[in-house]
Amino acid sequence: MKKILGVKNLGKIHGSGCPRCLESTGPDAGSNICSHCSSVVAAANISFDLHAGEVLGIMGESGSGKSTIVKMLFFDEEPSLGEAVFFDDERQWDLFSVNAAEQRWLRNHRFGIVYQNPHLGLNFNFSAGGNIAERLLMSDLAHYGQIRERARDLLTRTEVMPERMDESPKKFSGGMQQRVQIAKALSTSPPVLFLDEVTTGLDLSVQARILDLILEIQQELGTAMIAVTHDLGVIRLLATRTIVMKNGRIIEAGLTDQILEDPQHAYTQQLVASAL
Amino acid sequence: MVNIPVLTVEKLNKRFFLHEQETFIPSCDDVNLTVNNKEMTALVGPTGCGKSSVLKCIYRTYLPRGGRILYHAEDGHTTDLAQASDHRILELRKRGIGFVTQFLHCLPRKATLDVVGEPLLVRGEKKAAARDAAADILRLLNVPERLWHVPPATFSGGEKQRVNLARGLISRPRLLLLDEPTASLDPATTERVIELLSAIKAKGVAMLAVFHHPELVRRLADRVVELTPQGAEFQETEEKIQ
Amino acid sequence: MNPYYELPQDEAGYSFGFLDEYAKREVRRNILKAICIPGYQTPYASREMPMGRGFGTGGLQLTLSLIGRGDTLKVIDQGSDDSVNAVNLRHFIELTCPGVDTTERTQDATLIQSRHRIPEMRMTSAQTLVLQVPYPDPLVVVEPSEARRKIMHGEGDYSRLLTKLYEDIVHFDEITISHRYPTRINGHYVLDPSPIPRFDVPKLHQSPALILFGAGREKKIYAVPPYTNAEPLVFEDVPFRTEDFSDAQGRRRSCHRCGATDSFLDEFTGNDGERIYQCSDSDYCHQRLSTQHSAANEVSR
Repeated sequence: MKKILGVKNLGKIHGSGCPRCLESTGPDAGSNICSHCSSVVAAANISFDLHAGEVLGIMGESGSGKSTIVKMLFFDEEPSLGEAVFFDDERQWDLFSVNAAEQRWLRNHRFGIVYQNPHLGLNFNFSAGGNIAERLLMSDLAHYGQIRERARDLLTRTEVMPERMDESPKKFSGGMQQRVQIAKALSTSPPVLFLDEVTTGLDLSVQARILDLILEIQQELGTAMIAVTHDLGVIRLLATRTIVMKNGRIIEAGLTDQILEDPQHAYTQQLVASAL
Repeated sequence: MVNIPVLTVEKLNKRFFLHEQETFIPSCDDVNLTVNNKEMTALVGPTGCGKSSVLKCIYRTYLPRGGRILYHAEDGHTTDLAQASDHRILELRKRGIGFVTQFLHCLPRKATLDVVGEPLLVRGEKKAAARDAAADILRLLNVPERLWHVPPATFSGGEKQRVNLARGLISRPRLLLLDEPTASLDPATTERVIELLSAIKAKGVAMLAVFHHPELVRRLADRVVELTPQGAEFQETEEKIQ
Repeated sequence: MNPYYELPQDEAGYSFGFLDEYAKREVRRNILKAICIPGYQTPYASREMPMGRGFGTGGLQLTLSLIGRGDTLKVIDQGSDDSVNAVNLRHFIELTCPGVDTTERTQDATLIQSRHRIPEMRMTSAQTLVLQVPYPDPLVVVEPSEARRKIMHGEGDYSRLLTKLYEDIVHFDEITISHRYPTRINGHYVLDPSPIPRFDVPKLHQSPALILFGAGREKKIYAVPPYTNAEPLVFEDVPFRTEDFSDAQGRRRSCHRCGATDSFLDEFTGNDGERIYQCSDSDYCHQRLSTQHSAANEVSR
C-alpha cells in the first residue's frame, strides 16, 4: 500500500522551552513538564507512517499527547518541532511549510476530522444539513441543489434521518451529533480522516454503532484514518496498527494484535492487563 | 514431483518478559521446521510446549525474540517475518498468509456473510462478490442458510468454529496457519473439515497446523514436528498416510 | 510640512469642511487605498463629529474630505431629500463648506451622499456616491472574532455566508436578506453594501460613478471603483432576485404619483386603509411628474 502520510520527529512544546526540555521529559522522567524551564512537552520525537486505506490507532491515557498529534496534523495547533509530509495524488505537501490558504484547502478537501466534542466540529447555529453544506461550500461546490442532495445522501449513509437534516444538531443526541460530524467530515471524500476520541462519553450501544459505521465506511471508501483513543476496545475494533503513547512520547508501536497480545513495554502491559 | 518450501523456520525463539513480576516466561526455543506447498506440517507436543506461540510468531501476533521465519513468495522473493515491517506483514496477511484460530474474533454486530466476506473486502473486492464467495464457502462447511444473515455472536461453538474456518479459507492463502480448527466440532463436521483441508492442500496450499486429535494429524499431516518445552525435535513421518 | 503654510479657516476658527486639513488628507489617503483594493475595508481614524455616531458621520467625513468649491452636492435619506437626516446633513455641509452648491436633482450633482438608497437615475463617471454604513463587515453575522474575520476576508473564504444563505433557502424557500446583501467586488472581497435594498445591488455592478462607503463608528472606508464587477453572493442554481413589486395578478405595481413601473416603491397605507405605492426616490418621482406636466402643457397649448 502507498504511503500517504509521513511524520518525522514531530513535537509540541507549550511554554518558553529550553535546550534540556527533551532530555528531562518523557516516560523515563515520568513527566512531560520540563524540570528546568517548566515548559510542557506535549509531544516529542513522534515519527510514524500512515499508508493509504489503513487505520492507525494512537492509544494512551489523557495528557499523553495523543490528541496533540492529530491537532497538529489538522493545523489546529502549530507544531514546535518536526515535519510531516502528505503524499497526495498529484503532489507532496510539506504540511508545516504550506501557507494559510493551502492549509485551509487541505483541511477542506483532503483531510477530515471528527472531534470528541461536537461543538468543535459542528456549528450549532446551522442545521445538520447546513453544517455539511458549509464544508461543501468551502470546497467550492456552490450549487444549492447538489449540496442538498449530497448532504441528504451523507446523512442517510450515516443513519441520521434525512427528514431531520434541517434541524439544528443542538436538538440531537450525542450519538447523532457524532454521526453528523462524520457525515460532514466525509462530505468531500478525504483520503485521510482523523478521529479524536469519537466514542468517548457515549452510551455503550451508541459507541458500538458509531464504530460499526466508521468501520463500514473505512471498508467502503478505503479512507486512511488515525484514531486517537484511550479505549482498548476501540483500538481492537478499528486499528490495524497501533501506537502507544506516554508522557508525550511513543513508547511502543506495532500491529494491533501484537500490541494487545504481546505488549513489550511495561506501561502497555499494565494497560492491557487492566483492560482484561 | 518436488514440493517447494513456502515457509522455513530456523532457530525460532520466543519468551515473554513480564515487567510487573520481573520474570521471564519461556515459550518456545530452537524451533526449526519447513512447510512445503501441497503439504501440511503438524506441530505436536504436550500442553505448554509453545505450539500456538510458534503459529503466532509466524503470524507476528507475537514478536519473535530470535531466529528466522522465512516466507518464500511465489515470485521467489523471501521475507523474514521476524524482521519484516508491520506494513509488509499486513500485506502478507491480506494475500498470502491466513490464520484460523479456535476463537472467533470479529465484529459482534455483523451478519455472518459479511464476517466471512471481510478478508475479501479488505483486499478491495466488491461487497456483492464477497458475499457470493462467503455463501459458497459457508455452504461447503454445512453452515445452515438461516444463520447467514445474523451475527455469529449467538452461534454454538461448532457453528462459530465453522464461520471462523470459512473466514480463514475464503481468501485462499498460500500459507495457512491452523490452531485447533476442529476443537469444538461434531464428528460429521470434523469429517467435512478434513475433506476441505485435503482439497485445498491438493490445490497447492501449504499448511502448518496444531490439532487437538492425533487422529487428524495422522490423516492430514505430511510432516510432524514435535515440540518439547526445551525445544523442537525434527521428525518427519516416513510416508504420506492416505 | 511647510511651517509657513496657513490653513484656510473661517472666522470661528474652523477649516473649510469642518475637519482640519490633516484629517481630510488622512481620509483621502484611505479613500485612495480603498479604491486600490476594491471592497477591502480600509481602517481610518474616524474623527469626532458634532453629531452622534450613527447619524452618518462616516459618510459625512468622506463627503467633507472630498468636497470642494466647484462641487454640487445632493444629500438623500431613504430616497428622499427632505427627511430629517438628509436635511440636517445638508445644512451642516452648507454651513461648513461655504460656496458649495446643493441640489436635489441627481443629474446636477457632482457628489451625492446617501443613506439606504442609490438614486434611480443612472449615475455618470463625473459623479461620486458616498453611502453611509452602519455595519461594514458582512461576516459579522457568522464570525464574532474580528481577527478571524480578517483572515476569512484575506483568504476570500465566504463559505459561511453562503451557508447562511443555504439555511435561508432551507427554512424560508428563498433568500430573505432584504437589504445589506453581501456582494463580491472584483472577484475577491465581499462587502456589506450598506442598508440599500436588494433592488439597488445591481446598480453597483460596473457603475460609471465611484461609490464610496464610510462607517464612522466602525472606522472603515471601502469602495466600489468605477466599472468594477459587483456580484451578489448566490448559488449556481438559485439566481439573485430583486424585489419585483408585482401584485397578486403578477402585474408590476406602479407609483401612484408618477406612474413609474421601474422604480423602487415604498408602501404605505392611505387614509381609507388602502395600500399606496410611491417612488422611494423622491427626486426621480418629481422629475417624472414635471416632464409629464410640461408634456401635457405642450399638448394643451
